[in-house]
Amino acid sequence: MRNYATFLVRCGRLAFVGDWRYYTWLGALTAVILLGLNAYAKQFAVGLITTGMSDQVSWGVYIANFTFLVGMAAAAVMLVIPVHIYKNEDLHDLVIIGELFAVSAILMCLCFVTVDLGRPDRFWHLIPWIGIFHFPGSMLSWDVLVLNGYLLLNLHICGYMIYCRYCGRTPSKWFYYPFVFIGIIWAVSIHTVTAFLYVGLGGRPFWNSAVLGPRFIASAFTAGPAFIIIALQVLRHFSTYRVTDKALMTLRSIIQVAMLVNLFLLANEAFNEFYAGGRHIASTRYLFFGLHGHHALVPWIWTAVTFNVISAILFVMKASRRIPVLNITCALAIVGIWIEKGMGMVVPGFIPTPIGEIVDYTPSFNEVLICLGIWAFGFLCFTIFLRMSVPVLQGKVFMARPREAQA
Amino acid sequence: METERKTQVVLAVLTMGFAALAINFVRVPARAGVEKRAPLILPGSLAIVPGTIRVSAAQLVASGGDASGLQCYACHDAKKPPEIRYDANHRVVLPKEHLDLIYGMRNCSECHTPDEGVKIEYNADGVVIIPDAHRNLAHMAHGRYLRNEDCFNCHVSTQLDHLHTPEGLVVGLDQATQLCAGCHGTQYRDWESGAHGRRNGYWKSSAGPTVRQECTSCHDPHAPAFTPLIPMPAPHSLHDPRRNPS
Amino acid sequence: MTPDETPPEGMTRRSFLRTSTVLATGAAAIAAGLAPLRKIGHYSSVEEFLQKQYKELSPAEMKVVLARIEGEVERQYGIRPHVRDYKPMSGVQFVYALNLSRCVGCRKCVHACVAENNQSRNPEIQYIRVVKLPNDGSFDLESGDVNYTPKSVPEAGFFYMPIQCHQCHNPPCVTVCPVKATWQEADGITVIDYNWCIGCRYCEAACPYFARRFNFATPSIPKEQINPKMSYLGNRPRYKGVMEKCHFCIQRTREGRYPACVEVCPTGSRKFGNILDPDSEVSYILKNKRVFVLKEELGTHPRFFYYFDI
Repeated sequence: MRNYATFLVRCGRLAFVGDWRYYTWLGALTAVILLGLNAYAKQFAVGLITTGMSDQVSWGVYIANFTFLVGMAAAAVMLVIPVHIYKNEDLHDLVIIGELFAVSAILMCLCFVTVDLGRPDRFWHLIPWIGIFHFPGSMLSWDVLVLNGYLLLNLHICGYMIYCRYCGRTPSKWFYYPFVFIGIIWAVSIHTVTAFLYVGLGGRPFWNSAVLGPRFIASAFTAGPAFIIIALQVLRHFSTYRVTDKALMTLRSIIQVAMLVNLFLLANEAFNEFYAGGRHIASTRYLFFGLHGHHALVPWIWTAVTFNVISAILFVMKASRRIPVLNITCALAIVGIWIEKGMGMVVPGFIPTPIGEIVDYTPSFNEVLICLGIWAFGFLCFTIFLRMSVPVLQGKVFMARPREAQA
Repeated sequence: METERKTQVVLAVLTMGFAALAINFVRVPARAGVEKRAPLILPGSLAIVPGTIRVSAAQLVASGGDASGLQCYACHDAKKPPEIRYDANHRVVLPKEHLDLIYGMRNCSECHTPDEGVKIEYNADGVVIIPDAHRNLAHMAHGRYLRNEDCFNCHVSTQLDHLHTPEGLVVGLDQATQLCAGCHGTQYRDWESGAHGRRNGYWKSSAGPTVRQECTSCHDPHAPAFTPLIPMPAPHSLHDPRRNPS
Repeated sequence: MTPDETPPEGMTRRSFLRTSTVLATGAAAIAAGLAPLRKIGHYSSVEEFLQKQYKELSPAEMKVVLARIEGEVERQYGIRPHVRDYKPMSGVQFVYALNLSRCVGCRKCVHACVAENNQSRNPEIQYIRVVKLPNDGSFDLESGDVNYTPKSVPEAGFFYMPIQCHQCHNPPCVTVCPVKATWQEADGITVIDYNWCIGCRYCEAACPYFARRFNFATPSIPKEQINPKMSYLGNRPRYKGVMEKCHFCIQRTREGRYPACVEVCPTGSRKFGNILDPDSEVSYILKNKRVFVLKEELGTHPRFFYYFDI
């Protein structure tokens, strides 16, 4: 127990130590977080009227970012599967990095949901037995369960693996293998449950589509590994940690399949909506072509589709084996999917309202500040996690062995 | 060394930056949304057109009001022509006795000039002869295509303040509903069950009285169609620029 | 000696000063960042924070809660209200019928509701939405207009359809609430416990009729227009950050009276009553008129019916 405490203290101290680039990065992130915190304090004091949301469009960028980030969190499993199922040892240590990324993403998700609540002080109403937890009726209760479970799962696996490496022990199979396999299924479930939040609403025909769940998974497994590819290169550049190009190429091959499936499902959705037409496709028309003079989202969605198509083509081409091209392709995929799944999925579901009214939504400045603050918080967490765990994984920080203790 | 210097510089800059942020946060107040906001719709602007329920003859009688104006022959006699008064703008001044009788809020001076002598003609039995001009579309608005313009279709010719039903029953003005029911059977049937017309008070009759209106309380018998109303204000959505920012 | 990057001699005085300066500035910045919270004023008392959900309150606890709410309203608006907890009557299932041939679109119902139920004037909350639809052979809500402001109504070639909470038999809003802050009572009214709602707005997304409203800011009601006769589940003033919606004027209907919208309608288009009473006007209407409901294909089974007469 004392060893564990020492381990935590040493890791904590590590987080504050770095060179000037580290301080600049963390300082800038902290500044953005403070701006976000101030903006949230304003929102907490005045109410959600400081956002651009209204009764007509009652979910906005907060839930859009939440949806996107749940997908990113689920994508950590994309590293787990090759390592533990296909025994790809190149990626072995990267599993931990992927799971730390998942933890950061889940923390961001929890923040986004909290800032979206009208009464966050009443969060205790959600706790089973203390409050009233509407499980299994409400899909939101499922979401609360699976997200927190996924967080604990990943914290356990990473924490255990890193601590074992610190102690110089080989991890005991029973403490992590079962959790790893549960984690694979759980990762798919967190994103499917999030999709079901939307799919289960019969009054919103834009969301009430069977293909939404598969689309979520496909886009998550594109954007997540794309982000990890970029993150690993940043890690490679700023530390002595060894990341082989082969690892990056393995991730690239995962993205190839996922992106093509994503585009195929988009085509399915388009055919479903536009072939028979009818009144229930009003939201889809609003998104792609504008409706009754309102066309705020049209440039956004076509940008997203263009980015996705270009990155899909690049991914299957040999050109993206070269790192610079790969990075651009990943960036295009992340941005395209962020738009398509975030603003391009959440907001059109509300326009027009179920009784035909059209009220546009534009995020307010305060709302954007809060979003940036939470993203900065996520980056901060991820940076600090890496700062703490990489030296341990490299063997540079380890527990003092009795025979090496100084007098 | 070089890196150590850079680190010091970065830390110093960050410290100053945070201090500046802190000062800024304290200086700039939160959005003034917690203060009182003026209502979007001023109470005085609520346009309630009076007379969506008119005071009908029945209500006048029931409330014990002065119904003497409804008894025509109390004032008008074959031998006593009525005097018509005009105001400064040559508009007919409607006698108060006629206020509830004159349908459609028309003004007599639309057709009658101040210096014209209006004569009421009576037939041999002393019954008023309705001028042809008073029979046409301009005056009588009961019926969309075929006008119910003969006064004596409803009013008893010898007793103008009484009505007669198609079956020959004579009723007072306060029982006009029975007359209306003779032609408007479906509406009457619905009115009896509560589906037609206003209901106020209690839906649970054992808890209190349910108030329903007579036909003539909402429908002017000489121009039964509802007059258009001024609509109340439209909704304002949350970020409507017309909102009072205060 | 364990090789990591902590200097062997530990903290020097210089590094201690440096670190503590940065940390102090950081703490000050965080505190300053939270400065807007000073403007909150009275947010929530401890009792209010710990209050249980409506269905778990014992009658004695409910009395304490009602007294507390009366005190809160008095503090905020300067008038002493009378807040009661109206229970559903037995043998009652409410049904609402609206005659689309008679509605002239005057919106008196909208504003009577606002006055009766203490809704916020700015930001404006209105439970009833009147949709103006063209008489062109279709019934497409998308071609509707809620913002009509003509000189007089009704306008030729149009008809008007007011929409409010339908108190569905199978309410999607009740299914999706993660804390069970909204549920349907025995007499058919779907209610919200304003002290339990966490403001996630999932119910607002789930409602197919755009019936639910959210308090994006603290509601503002002119003191002189407050209706002091209040009910716990109905028209007591709501809080910032919670949902609200039409509740069939619980404070009136559970005493046997008509809701405000029915009382004020000048053309008698609105009909309300107990469907279990065969002599009620709503029983007559459902039996004899051609009634329909909106979005029947969704399976919500509304208890709000529309019909045309002529």
